[in-house]
Amino acid sequence: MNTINNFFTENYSNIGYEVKACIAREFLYNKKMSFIIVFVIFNQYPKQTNPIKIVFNTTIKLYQKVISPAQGDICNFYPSCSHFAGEAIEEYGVLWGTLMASDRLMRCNPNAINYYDTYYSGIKHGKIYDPVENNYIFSPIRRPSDILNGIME
Amino acid sequence: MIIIFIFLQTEMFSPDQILKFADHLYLEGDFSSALNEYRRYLFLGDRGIQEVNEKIVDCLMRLKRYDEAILATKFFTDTTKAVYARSSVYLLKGDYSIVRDLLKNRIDTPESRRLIGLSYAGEFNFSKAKEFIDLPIPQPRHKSPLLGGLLSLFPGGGHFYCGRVGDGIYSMLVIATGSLVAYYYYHEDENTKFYVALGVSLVFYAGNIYGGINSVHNYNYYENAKYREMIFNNNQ
Repeated sequence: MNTINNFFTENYSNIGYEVKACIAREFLYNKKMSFIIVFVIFNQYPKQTNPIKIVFNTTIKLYQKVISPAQGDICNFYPSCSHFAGEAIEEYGVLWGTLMASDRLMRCNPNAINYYDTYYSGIKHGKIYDPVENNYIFSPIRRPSDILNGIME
Repeated sequence: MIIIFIFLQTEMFSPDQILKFADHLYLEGDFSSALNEYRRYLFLGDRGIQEVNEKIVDCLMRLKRYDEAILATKFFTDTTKAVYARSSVYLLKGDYSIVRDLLKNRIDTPESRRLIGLSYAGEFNFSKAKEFIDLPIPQPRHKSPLLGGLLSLFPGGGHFYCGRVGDGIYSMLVIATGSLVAYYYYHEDENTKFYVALGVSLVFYAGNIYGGINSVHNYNYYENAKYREMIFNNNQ
């Protein structure tokens, strides 16, 4: 707090309280933001050395930490679109991962629930279950054998 | 002491009563409790051990405890039945090649032919499954991924081709909006914004083509899975 007070007395001593509060919020927010960016980048460094993947992962993580909490839990799918994008880029590389993520973003619409038992793997955690491996076009495995498990019942 | 004496004289804890109760639970569909009662009977009773072991394996299969079911088949006195039971468990577990390995020496019996046919059907190898079992007549109708990709050149075409009208319209709207924004900035001579909007639109357009092919794959998989379910229901 001392740092913030000194900052105000040196630079903004003549302006009103509301403006000061506004600047304080901005200052704190920027400080938090820079901390988040540094944390996100360095947190993935030992595991991830590909610079392009670091850029993509950082963007996704920043979205998840800054924008997504403000939006709330609005994605129709499990895993959510941002987690899906992160997993797809991690598993299948930047090219295929970006294609899969953009396709997923277009599929994440209010109409998706109509296909939960046909094109998707049912419901998990109250959302449509659509794992990454079901959407890689060269993968022979599309979804778990849930239909088979039900045949004896 | 008198109460305990009277209690012990009843038939409540006799093996026959336990077996009757276990059968009742089994018919009610309470497989977890039935499994416990069958295991209690094995501890106390001495008649019909093979049948009770079969029921235990059946309960474990219905409870999807496949590894335990495979272990339980080792207590079968009839080795042929043990092999068939183990094959059925592997079939439900999805280990189709193990089913064929287990039954390769007994290929002539109707039960092995049924299980081998089902193992091929589980892998969607319907032409091979046809050699062992009778398949239902309406074969699954597949769509072409290439045609899905080509139709996706018009945004949303691949999704329309698979019957996913909502996804198709949504793809069309996203790409059209991105393109209109790009065109607007091009018209306004704002180069940076134009390139950003164009890049985003192109990524979504490429994703739409990818999605068209992927939705055809998903459609074909779903058709195969439906057909497989029909085969399994017919050959239970």
